[in-house]
Amino acid sequence: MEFQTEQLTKSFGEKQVLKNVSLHTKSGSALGLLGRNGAGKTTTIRIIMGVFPPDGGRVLIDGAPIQRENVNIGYLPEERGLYPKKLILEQLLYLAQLHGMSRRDAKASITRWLTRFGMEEQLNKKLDTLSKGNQQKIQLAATLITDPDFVILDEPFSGLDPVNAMMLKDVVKELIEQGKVVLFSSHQMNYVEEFCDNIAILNQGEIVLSGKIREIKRSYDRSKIVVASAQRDQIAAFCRERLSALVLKTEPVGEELKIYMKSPKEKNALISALVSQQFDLDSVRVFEPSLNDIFVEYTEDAI
Amino acid sequence: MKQFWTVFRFEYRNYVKNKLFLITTILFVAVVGAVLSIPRFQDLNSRNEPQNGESGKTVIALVDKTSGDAAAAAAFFMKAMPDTKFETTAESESALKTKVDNGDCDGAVILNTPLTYTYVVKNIGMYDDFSKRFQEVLLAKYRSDKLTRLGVSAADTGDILSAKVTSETVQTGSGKDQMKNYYYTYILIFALYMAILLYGQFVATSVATEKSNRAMELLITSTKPQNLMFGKVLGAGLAGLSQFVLIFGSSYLFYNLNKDYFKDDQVVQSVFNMPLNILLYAVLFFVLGFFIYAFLYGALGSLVSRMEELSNTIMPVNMAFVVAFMVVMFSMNSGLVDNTAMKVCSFIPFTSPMAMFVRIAMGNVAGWEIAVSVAVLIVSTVAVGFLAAAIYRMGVLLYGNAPKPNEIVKMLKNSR
Repeated sequence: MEFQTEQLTKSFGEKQVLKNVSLHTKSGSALGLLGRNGAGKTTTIRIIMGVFPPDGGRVLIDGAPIQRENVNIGYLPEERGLYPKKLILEQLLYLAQLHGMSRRDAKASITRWLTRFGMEEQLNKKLDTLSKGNQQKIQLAATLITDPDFVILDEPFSGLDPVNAMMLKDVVKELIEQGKVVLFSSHQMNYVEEFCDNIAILNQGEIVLSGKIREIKRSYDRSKIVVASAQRDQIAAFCRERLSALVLKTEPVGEELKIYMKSPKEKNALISALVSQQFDLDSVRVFEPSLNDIFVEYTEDAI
Repeated sequence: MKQFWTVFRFEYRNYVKNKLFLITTILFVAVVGAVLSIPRFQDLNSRNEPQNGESGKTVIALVDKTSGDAAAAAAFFMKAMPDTKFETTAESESALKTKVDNGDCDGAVILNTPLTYTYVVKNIGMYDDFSKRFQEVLLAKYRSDKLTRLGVSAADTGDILSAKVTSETVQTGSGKDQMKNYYYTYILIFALYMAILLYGQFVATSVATEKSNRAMELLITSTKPQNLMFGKVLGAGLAGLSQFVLIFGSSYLFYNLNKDYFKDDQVVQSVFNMPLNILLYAVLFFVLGFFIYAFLYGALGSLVSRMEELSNTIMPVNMAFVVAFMVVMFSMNSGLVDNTAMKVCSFIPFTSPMAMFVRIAMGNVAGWEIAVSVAVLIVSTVAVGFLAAAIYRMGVLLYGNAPKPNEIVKMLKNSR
């Protein structure tokens, strides 16, 4: 399955919230929609879900306008919403049946997911007796019980502790392996980096950067080398004194040393110089910006 | 359609499994049962009580200033009013006041002339009809005395005074006995009024709750708003109907158990022997009236962001409904159920369930009028249902202040 949005635009009153948002992803991969608060992530997702129509643009599945009743979509809304005063089993059954599942299948699926989340004991409790993180897991179960082909998660990590976040990561990885289309939004870059192949950074309603994380990172200037070594300071001194032809400056970063070269082409010359000096090197690598750095760079100017 | 049934079942079960719903229903049934069983127990009591002649009678001190035979007057009065004991005396008015005040007697009558008297009493009760009855008795005595003095024999006097007119009223087939119809019409209208206000609020609350706890976003992305709105309203409707069937059914049962004790009770008789066609009309208008308002309440519920705003938003509908109810009630009490206001109201969808039903039950309505009214009502109910679903669809993601009516119209147009 191939999913695509084409030039989505949306205004609320005078304010244009989305400007030509085009996304693209397909089965077996995850697309991370990144952006600061108010960048338009949730609006984009709501348009995809048909909560409201776009002013312009289209949402396509396999090249044709989406028929939401024919696509099994699992949706985790940003504003979590279930019935706090109702029994968990009862409301999950209701939602599953609304999606066309039979009562028996729904029950089996609910039990399976809640067991997976370690919550099978809570089936006959009221939702509001659970902690926030556990309610979140129930919400996630509500998203997944129908075994959707297309999973949309709006800020799935908010409110989860590290153990639960890990579990969610495993679940998402599994979904990707099963060949589902996964689209999610987040502003927590560390999670995104772990299992997302593709990202799209939204800033003030516009896509400012999109593509494969790997390629984006490689597109950055590769003239910095990071060296991990116990002889950090000696290396720094060596670079300063003997390699000024290659090196602009050095900068200690934690236990490592960041070496700024005059040109990325000098990489091999620099490494062989260090090796020939018999320095005790743990690792040498080209410095790549973290997704976090990239994100900040592209969205800093946002309000 | 399958999704509609899922919503419908879910909503219906929510009502029926609700403790408050169960408790109120049981309470209602218990109260109705108790009330309808009262005559049985009253009857048992009065049978067991020994009838002693003197106790329980009202004691009235009698001062006769008309120079007539005080004892004979007392005897005449006692014969005419067997539940009252007249004791002759010659005390002054102030002495009598003290006596009445102390409770030595229940009251005192001072006959000033054959046709004027002073009644001394401590409390004038709501249902104190002594004076009224005594006036008649006194008039009878005056006439009897006068006739005797004119030489009419005692027997003739008695005949003349006790002569009674008897009559029989024959109704033409098409008319209505408003007196008899009044009670059941009143009960049905009142039940309709309660059901609409109560269940209307339930629907509005249910929608507003889903909105405030954000379950809405999952729901509208899972199914069509029509399914949600119609499922909700019809679920509430069936719950209400179940409740009424239980309450009315059990009251009918209790009535039948105690039937013998209600032989002389016009009100109860008329209520439980209402004609079948009236009952069917009641159900028809009940269902339609219920739904048209429930849809409206549901739409309004979707416009608020927080529960606290709900009462303000549904206020206008509540007010309009109460006004309609008042118009109908006043018309019923005045007996002129076919007045102009009622005629107009019986064709306006929001007032016709009550107005047209009252006119059918108590007034004279042509068949075509009923047909037109029902047709208008059915069409409007369905239209309001779809409009409500559209408003609901649009309102569910509206947070902030509830929009004004003109803004709603604008948004509905834009969403097309």
